[in-house]
Amino acid sequence: MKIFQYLSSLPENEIQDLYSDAFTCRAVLRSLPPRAKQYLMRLLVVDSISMQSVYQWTTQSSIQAHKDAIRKLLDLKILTRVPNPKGVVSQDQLFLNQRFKDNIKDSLTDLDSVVLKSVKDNQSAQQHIKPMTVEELDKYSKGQWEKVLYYLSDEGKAPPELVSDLLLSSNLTKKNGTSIAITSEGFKFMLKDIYTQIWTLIIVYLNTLESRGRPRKEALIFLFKLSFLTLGKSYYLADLNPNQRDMLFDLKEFGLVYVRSEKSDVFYPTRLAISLATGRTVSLMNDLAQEISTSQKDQGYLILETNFRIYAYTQSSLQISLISLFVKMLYRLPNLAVGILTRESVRSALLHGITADQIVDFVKQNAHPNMVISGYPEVVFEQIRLWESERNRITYKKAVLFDSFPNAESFSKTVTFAKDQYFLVWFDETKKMLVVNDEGSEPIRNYIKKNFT
Amino acid sequence: MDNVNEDDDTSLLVIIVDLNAYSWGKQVELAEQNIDSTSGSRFITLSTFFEHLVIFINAYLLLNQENQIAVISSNVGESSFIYPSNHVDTKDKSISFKISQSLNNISKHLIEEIHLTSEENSSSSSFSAAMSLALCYINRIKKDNSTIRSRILVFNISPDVSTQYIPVMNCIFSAQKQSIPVDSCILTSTDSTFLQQASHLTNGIYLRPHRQDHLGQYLLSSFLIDSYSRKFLNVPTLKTVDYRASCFCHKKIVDIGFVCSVCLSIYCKYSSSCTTCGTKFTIKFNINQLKTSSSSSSSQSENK
Repeated sequence: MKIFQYLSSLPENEIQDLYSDAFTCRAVLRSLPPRAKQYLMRLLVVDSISMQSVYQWTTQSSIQAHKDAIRKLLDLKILTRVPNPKGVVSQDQLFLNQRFKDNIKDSLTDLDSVVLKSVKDNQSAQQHIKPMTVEELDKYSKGQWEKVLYYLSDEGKAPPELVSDLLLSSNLTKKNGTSIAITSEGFKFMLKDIYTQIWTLIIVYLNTLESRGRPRKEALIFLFKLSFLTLGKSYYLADLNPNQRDMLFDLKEFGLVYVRSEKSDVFYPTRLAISLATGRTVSLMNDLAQEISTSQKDQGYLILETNFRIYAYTQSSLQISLISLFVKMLYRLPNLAVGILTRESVRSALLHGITADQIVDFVKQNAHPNMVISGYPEVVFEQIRLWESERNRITYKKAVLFDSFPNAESFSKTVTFAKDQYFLVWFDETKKMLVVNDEGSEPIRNYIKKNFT
Repeated sequence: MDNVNEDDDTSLLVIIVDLNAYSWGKQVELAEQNIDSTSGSRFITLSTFFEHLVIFINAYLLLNQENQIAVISSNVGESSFIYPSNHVDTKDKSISFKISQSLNNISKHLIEEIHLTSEENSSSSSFSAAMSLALCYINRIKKDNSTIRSRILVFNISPDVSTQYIPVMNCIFSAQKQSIPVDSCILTSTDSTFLQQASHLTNGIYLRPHRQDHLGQYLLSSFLIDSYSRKFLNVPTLKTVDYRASCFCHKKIVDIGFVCSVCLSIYCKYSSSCTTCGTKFTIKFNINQLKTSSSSSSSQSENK
């Protein structure tokens, strides 16, 4: 899980600072695996507990998962392990982070904690603005995120500065002269689930915040807070501090929040923002992920024929622009796009760093059911791999050259020795030159030293 | 870790709270008697219990954003939903706030309602009705969200009523069939036969806290474990279960009884035909003889 790797990588004092915020503690607790959550709840009411006692909580069959959970809590600095003075490992004491403990305890007894006050229904009616429905918000966040992916795959489009900067610094795109092109990383990124995609960009975003001289701690806390808002409710911008407001407009680019216009005084969190901290909450994300990759897994839309023609039954320009990375598009009908795989189109993809295997996997993953039944055109896949190997006609290997042998006999004996030991790469009788591979250099040198000096 | 479904602990928890005013009244006496003894069971009053309960609900809701909850009160002669309910219209508040508010309302009305019910039928709450409500509610939620893991948690204080044996057993079996664990937390000093069986048959947790002033801790460490985590965490279970059934004719709990060979109905006295399925028994034998032989052979329950 991305967020944990990120939090674990933060320096000690920064993470301690984060835990002084109650909502961060709650969000972290929520996004932990179930087992770790239960452990934390048990530790809430005790001062410290020995490793031995914790060990007894788990069933024998899941000891590995138990260790992983404890490891994770230690990595996140939620637990600290104090070694037993006598050196008995099983008597090591586990302590819960004091701030974390206090915050969670407080939130258990706190009945009426609200992150931000939401706008009352009758108030927004007074201002003659129709409130956004959940469906509209879903549609909006989906559209925004599709746009980001679209920038990634379509070189012609110029994305907003923030998005293009992020894509560049996350290594998903690279500058190719004046235009921006997708990288191999970017292609892999497109195939990942939406949750991983968002976190990848958010983490890059947080890091860029730091370089712009704004504390990422505050940004993280704000992100966690967002996840406690209610979907379909609007909140006052005036309740946020200037930094948070700036960030809000940044997040708007990813579709995490909805703000009607610059002048608008309310904002809506979208599904993406609310489930960001707990990406595993399946039911929320699934609908969206499925819609975005309309048919990516369940019902493929690609038919590839042995004559290298590819038919894409889709209306999404995102999917078409994704295919056009390695296909020469011929024509487009309302629900169908037709293209052809050519040496040039595949080579241009290969030049971007996309590998042949990635292309083949992509086609297989998005294969139309009919193509799955009739079998994949292996000949086309083979040709794509051949086009790739065309670019790799030279391979580099470390080798050592020996020359100026004193006589023919020493030369021929060394060659036989090298042959026997499978070190030999190349030799020339007349010039008395011998090339052996890297492993062979030392033994050959020793052999020559021993026999001919 | 990659599999999204694998680590999903989203659950639906239906809490059945026994709000029998008489039993809670008796509990107050017990609580006062035991107030300065440092060992043994201590008892808590209704208001303290509500505090513990609200903390537990808060913790449960904190664990997962999509966790759902329902609270059902099992009262004398009636059972009703405390949450979700359509009475409370404090829209902007958290769920736990709403629950605690309605709990407080209930405890106020509890005393008023005592005068309305007569002493005779008020010794026990209608547990089976509350249980049926819970099962129906779970069924309804499952229609919309088929992957959610549901369980029932019962807080029991009033004694078992043998007249409820058959409806309660029916509820237990339907919970077992739908694999809904029934957890029971017993707040009296005596075990409940019904709930022992319910928890045992449905793989639920059965616990009678020895020190009720630490109820919150019992709740957090044992009853918070969702049914997914129970696969890999050790949970408190019963060592001995009282499996005695109650007879169909007089609703008495029996050690030894007569069982209809066709429908397995249990009777405490011999009758010539089964009242449940109507089968006529043709075998005639001396009942006195049977009694002496069975009491000498074993004292164990016949329908174990």
